[in-house]
Amino acid sequence: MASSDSNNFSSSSPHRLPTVSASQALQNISSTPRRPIPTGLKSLDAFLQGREHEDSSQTVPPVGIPRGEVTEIYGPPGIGKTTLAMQITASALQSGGSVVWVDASYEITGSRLRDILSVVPISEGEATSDPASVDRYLEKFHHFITPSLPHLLALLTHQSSTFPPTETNLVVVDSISTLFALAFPKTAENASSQQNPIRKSDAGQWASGRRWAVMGDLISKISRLAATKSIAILLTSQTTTRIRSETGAVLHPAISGTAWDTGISTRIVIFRDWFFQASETASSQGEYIPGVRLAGVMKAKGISYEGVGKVVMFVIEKTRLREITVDQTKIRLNGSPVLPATSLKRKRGEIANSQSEDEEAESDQEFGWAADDHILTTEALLE
Amino acid sequence: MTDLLHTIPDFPTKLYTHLLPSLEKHLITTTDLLTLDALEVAKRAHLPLLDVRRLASHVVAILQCRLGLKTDNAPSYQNAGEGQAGYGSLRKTGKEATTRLSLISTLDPSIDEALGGGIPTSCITEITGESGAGKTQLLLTLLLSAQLPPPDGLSRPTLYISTEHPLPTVRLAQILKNHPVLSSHPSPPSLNRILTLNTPDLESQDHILTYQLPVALARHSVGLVILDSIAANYRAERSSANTPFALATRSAQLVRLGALLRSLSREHNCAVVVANQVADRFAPVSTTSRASASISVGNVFSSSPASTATTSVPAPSVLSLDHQQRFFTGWGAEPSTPSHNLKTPTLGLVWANQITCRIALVKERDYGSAGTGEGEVAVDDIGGAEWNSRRWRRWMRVVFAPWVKATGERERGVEFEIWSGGARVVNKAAAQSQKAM
Repeated sequence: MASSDSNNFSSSSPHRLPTVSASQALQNISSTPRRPIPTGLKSLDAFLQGREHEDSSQTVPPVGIPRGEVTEIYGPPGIGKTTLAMQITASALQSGGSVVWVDASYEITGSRLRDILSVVPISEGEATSDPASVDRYLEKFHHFITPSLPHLLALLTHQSSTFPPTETNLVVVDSISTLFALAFPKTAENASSQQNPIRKSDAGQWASGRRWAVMGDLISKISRLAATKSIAILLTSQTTTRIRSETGAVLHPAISGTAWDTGISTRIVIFRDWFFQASETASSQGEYIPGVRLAGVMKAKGISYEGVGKVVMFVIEKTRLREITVDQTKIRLNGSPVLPATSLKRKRGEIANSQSEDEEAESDQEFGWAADDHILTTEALLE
Repeated sequence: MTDLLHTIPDFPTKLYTHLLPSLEKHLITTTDLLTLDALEVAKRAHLPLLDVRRLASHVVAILQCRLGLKTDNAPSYQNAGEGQAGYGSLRKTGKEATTRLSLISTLDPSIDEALGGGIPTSCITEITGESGAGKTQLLLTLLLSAQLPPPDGLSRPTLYISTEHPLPTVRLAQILKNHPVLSSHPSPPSLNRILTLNTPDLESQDHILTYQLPVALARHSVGLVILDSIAANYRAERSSANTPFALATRSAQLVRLGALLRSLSREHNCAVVVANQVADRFAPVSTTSRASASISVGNVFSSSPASTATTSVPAPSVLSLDHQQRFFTGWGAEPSTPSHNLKTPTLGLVWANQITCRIALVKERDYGSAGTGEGEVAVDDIGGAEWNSRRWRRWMRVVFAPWVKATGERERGVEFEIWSGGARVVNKAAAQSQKAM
């Protein structure tokens, strides 16, 4: 370990948390500037704290994407996952940190990031908008492309003295699910072995089990990276469908599983719906507002919420995401009222149990994954 | 280890010929090599531990090199990974990553404006629509305009991969002759600079795209690749069965195709444009619970009594594919659209996840009646008026794109028409006066 002097930890591996005494830890919590990274959407920031906004009426602590943890954003194509990630990136850059952006699918649209960086005065107080400062911010922006899963593993899970760059406070992996879909095609061996059960040999099982093992390995190493370096790690993920008996095909994060879900401390879903803003003058339906996106905080601080969780509405503008504030009691999603901010009905607590139940209930046969779900549940029991 | 050469095409396999066959046999992938302990791999593949460890650290070293990282895994092997193009090419500085897009113009200012300037390089753009909606017309114009020098094009040759019909050269020549920008340009595009490939079936498509396309791109410095259409071969193959096996195979093929096109477009900095067909979307099957879900869809967010009646619908139903796909397929985003008679681009969500941008071309019958106002849905009128092939109206909608604002749900998009010079925007005033006559 020739590189051990390059990091500040006394332990032999940079992936291990240093030992601190309890009193020191307490002091660290109250003093270290592990400020979360604001998303630029106020309500979303508040929901990410995992508690009611109103409760913290005393000195409002900084809020946003938590550092030292892994956050996942998922949603259908074109919904604004990347744009939200860009806004968070801008906010992190403006607070003076470095940002690592990893593109797992297509490349970031640079002009868009410039637009967002140039205007957003996310951190209040400083509202500069000259191009020079954009270039200054971009000096701390590190861009990587990972065309395959091994590339991502080499980047994030294997030690290098130059990664992460100094002062990194945010790592974004855009569309991480693409790599998994590519590395573990949902078919060949496992589907053929379904048709021909005799061939489901040791080798076949090995191959189908690897997906879950790699997933678990990656998420645990990523969370360790986040924790040791006090970095906020933001993953965006695409969706697949799962068939549920009552509603038909429902969008579901493309990467999920017991190990993965426990590694993700915050999960945000972005989706769309129609929204009519009630007004005195307008007719019964109210005025239609186009392009409304909804971000639901499904999990915050390790606690899962029911359904889509607490919901924030926003629209995407050229240079930023703008929140739409409404009387939240009026919001209805597909007919069922969303109880905003109070929707902490049921803690899913230790997700392992409920998750594996869900897993069995869902028929994933369509993609030939049935066999693997079985493996997942046995894994869940082993853990 | 078949994937090793996909991951690192120029990996010096010679050094490890004694390891690779056994790793292959035991299904050890590059991913496994990077995640598992060398001991476990060695045990499984019955290979000497030290050799496996050496291979693993060599792979990591090369990958980290490509990513522009200083590696401290195996300095002694770095020589083997150096000295080739692509060193560190996967890393960019902030400035490099935010350079301006290079765009290919559609040669119509209004269409370009809606597209944020045109079709950019390094990503996959999908143009979808019914047959006759104008997909090919738009693509043909791009084949020519990409040859123009910037800002209209890239001054590079173009490549047309056809799956259905051969390149309509007569039409190309017509566009070239009739479009004012093309015909009067000092360095006009030439049909000689359009390469074509034909992929009659899925097997040959796979082979051609994987092996011939990269060579062609590199040799001719192609700036635009058009695949017209992506769906044809998959649709033909698929007719056999809708079994889970067939669906899974297709989804894997699409994921691979997406990754291939993406990496080609990035490595060669070229634009990839694919045409996609549409299929009819079916309304949810009328089991009782689904019916209630689909009814409530129309009442989202309104506080009318009708929607309060259906509170039994579980909240996640807002995430149902039927509802969410209204917003990314290009059909059905308007709140008052009926849930029947909608179109859906083929190949589904799996493919939608692969593309960067989706452009939908919508065509509707025009009955010439004064009542054809904005927001009226033509599907209600089917059978009403006489069909007349010359009276189609066409719109272009940007469904999603990372560089430009999508077309709003209540907007119809840019109306365009097909003429001898390609596709052009319908002049609103002219159209009105024509209607009055």
